[in-house]
Amino acid sequence: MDILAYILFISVVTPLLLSLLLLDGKSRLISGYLIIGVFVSLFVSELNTLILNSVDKDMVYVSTTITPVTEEVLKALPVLFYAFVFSDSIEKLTPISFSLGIGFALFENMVVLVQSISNVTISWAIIRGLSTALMHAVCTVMIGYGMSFVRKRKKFFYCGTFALLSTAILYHAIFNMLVQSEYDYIGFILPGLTYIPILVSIYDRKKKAINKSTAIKKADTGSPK
Amino acid sequence: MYYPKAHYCRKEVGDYLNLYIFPNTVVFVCALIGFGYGIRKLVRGKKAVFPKMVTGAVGCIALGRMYQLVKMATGGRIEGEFQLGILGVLGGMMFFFSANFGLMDKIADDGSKELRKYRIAAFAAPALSLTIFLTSICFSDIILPIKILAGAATVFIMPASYFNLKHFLLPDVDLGIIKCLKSYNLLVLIFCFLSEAEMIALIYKIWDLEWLIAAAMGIVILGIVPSVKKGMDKWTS
Repeated sequence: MDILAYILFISVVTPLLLSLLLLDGKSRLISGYLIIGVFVSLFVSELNTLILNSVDKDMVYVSTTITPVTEEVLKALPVLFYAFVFSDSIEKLTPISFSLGIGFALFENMVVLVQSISNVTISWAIIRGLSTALMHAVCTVMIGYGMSFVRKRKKFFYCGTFALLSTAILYHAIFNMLVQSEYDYIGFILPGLTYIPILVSIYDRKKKAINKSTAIKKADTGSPK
Repeated sequence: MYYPKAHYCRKEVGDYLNLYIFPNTVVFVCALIGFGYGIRKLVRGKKAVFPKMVTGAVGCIALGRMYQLVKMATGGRIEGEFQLGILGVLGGMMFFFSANFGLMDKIADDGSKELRKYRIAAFAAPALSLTIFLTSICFSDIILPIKILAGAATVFIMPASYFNLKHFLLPDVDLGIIKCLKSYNLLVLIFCFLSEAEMIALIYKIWDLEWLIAAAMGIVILGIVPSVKKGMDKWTS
């Protein structure tokens, strides 16, 4: 990877790091994981270039068989770290994993934009934004969501983590295969089709929580003192 | 990473490819139906972790098959070289294993001496799985990468099959949940051995057997999630 990626990295991460000082609580955590996502993206780019140069396979084979593994494993590590050290709460793991995936995709999109500046169009930007970015976020959310169950018991932490990683890797590899084929339009809509149910379930969960707290408040105010 | 658009050309979809496509399609469709049913009935809302893990297993199997189908549809090969489709089986087995070992085993097995015979008898499943691998794949003259892939699958099938057979055999004296999940354990056990048989059918290109296995696998996968739901409903009622 050329020096341009590092220039981009510094120019993106520096203001984000400075903004971290002003934020607190959940906002700081989410912004922090966005920065980690950017860093992982830079690291993975270097690693994938290294792998591509060292294996005797074409780009299509590498992108559908090797890079989904490296990208998903490295993206999962910060989420696993958080689940292991701090909290396995679904309310925390889902946003941070989504944020990490978006950070990863954000930097990847910027690098691609700079590398092929003469070929990019508005439609390219829309497609990249709605497909690749969402795909990375969905894959990391899968791990974050699953981790909230798997982490609860030591007995299935390792096997459960492997199973979750397998699922995310397969999803990523299917996406990579589709977007490079003549069926690329299926690849472009696949992350959206997965994202909508996730969004609906998160809204459902929030709505239920709000309803529950309102009912409790009503019961509290209605009860005799 | 961004990759330039590959110039795939659509291969002539001959009989040979069809024989790979048909079994994968059957298993994929059945697993997808099972996964959808699981999401609707066992995952949404505050449900127990066990059925969520089982649904995850079926989803992982569906993704593995989908990978193979997409690979074939986009002009790739699924035989003779390493491909990620095997993660569907490995991940699925790990989900099944985690669900049984991590959640149910503590309830089913209190470690008492009376249950020792069941614990020992359950070793029959991994032993059979290992024997099939050693006799049909490991000591035969097939290429090393295939042996490694089949070996990896066997390693993941063995622990899953052990706990499924164990929980199928164990008498449920305390809580009744294991008794309710007997049909689930039997179905997963059959699935484990069908996966093993499928490897042999694909390696030796026994197409009739492959078709038969795919049909049986489809039926078994369709039954896994409903059997868990039935078991959980029976137990809670």
